[in-house]
Amino acid sequence: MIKPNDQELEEWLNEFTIEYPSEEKIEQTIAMLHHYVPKKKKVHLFRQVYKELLGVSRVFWMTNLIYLAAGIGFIFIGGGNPYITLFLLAPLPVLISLIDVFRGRDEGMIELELSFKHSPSQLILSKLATIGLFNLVCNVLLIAVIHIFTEHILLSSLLKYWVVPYMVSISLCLFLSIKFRAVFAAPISIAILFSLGMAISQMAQVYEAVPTGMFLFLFMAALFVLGLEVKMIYKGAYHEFSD
Amino acid sequence: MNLAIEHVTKKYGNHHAIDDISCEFSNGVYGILGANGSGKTTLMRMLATVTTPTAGIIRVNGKNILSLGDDYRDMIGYLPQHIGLYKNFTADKFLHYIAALKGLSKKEAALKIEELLDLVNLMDVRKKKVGTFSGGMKQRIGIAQALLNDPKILIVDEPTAGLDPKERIRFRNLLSSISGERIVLLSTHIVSDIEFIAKEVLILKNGRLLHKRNPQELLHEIAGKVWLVTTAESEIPRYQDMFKVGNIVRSESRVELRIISDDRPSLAAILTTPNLEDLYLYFFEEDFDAGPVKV
Repeated sequence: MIKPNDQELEEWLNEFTIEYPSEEKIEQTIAMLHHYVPKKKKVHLFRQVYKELLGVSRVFWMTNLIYLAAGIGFIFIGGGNPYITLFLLAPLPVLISLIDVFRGRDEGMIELELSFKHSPSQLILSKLATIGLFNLVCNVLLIAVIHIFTEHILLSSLLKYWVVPYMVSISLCLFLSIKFRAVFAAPISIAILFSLGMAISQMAQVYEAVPTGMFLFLFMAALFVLGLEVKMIYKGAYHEFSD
Repeated sequence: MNLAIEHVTKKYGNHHAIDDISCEFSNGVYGILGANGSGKTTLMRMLATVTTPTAGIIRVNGKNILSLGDDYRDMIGYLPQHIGLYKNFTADKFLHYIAALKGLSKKEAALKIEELLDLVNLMDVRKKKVGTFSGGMKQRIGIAQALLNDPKILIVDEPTAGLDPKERIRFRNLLSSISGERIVLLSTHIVSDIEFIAKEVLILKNGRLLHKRNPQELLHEIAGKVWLVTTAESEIPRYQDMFKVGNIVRSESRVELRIISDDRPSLAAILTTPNLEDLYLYFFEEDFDAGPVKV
């Protein structure tokens, strides 16, 4: 069989006329095909953070487990005061975990992270929410154990020895972490917490004499500051570089 | 894909880092050429949404990138000039972490990481900690992370800094090969990075866009202004005082100077074909480092 050369082929093809489709028809075809284009799976941020914390930040889970074990050990084996134990130990897992929350910024990754689908603000806030929520569950668990197996926990004492120190120390550490490196902020906050805890354990009567209203005020103030800090993080105030 | 910068200005106090720039990009490699402080990095950072313009809008397919938010960030890959890395992570773990932040599923990430580690030639060291990597290896892992989400817009700021010549060629070829279906914006002050791969070159100076044209058009601008002069070595200072002198090539007792000048620098001067290095010298004389004398 003799093959036609290019010129012959071109001449032969030129005998045929093919109508070019209208713009409208092209648009219709694209719109129809759109239904068949596979959609990109959306991975939810919280699921991502949970997985990341599970895989990367073993420190967070470990500190919470150690907290529970140490809390139960101090109270049930060591005969320690449950309120002072709560005062000293409850905020520790969150304070230590803040180092991981701000790790991206502290290790110079922020420039890169700002260009990612999940922004550093979203990531920090969702990590804080996950960490806070899990730690709260651990706290409630420990308080329930104390309540059931030792003495009845008084709400007013819980406010003085757990809620207020917990909120104040976390809001202080978070503020320091926003402004400075978390690796410095966390030990400073823990040192302040321990100094206060030791002082209060020595002067329990003076501490007990402080009116409940004062603690309610401190609680509200800490809550307000935490709200401001969340706003600061959302707006990116934790960036080290200036724009 | 169309990316448009419309009257964008970025001010730091009273200083205009970027001053009323407008231009458009479609698929292909764009080289952004400028001396240090010309505004290249600021422009790249705005395109990567790391910082926002003081005035003006950046649009992708007609939509404001700031309104698109994470939908826009989902379509970009960014390699900053100075990349921070988690030093205790292995290359593999680092890329998995970045993939998670970019919203890739574990399965997608595993496949992509395998492909990219091979592409940037880091497969053998995937289990080694990033902290032990050389500058070039860190740069290559930076390139890999930028490509993880298969970006439609790739923004790379001085990507070849720290790469050896072989790696630079490899990187240029890589950019060239992936640019068919995406916009690649490459800022550099090394002209050879973009000489053969850029569809268009943007020349930035003091925050202003001087030109955005294809390399041939730009070179046409300085045609008839690049001269070769063979002279005695003792004459070099005199020529350097009077003209913009690029390459100096020494051969036995004479030297050959590459001079950029509107007028013939000497009777013996011969016109030569300009290249992008000459163009750079033409626009950024004060920042030009001719490099070592070639023998």
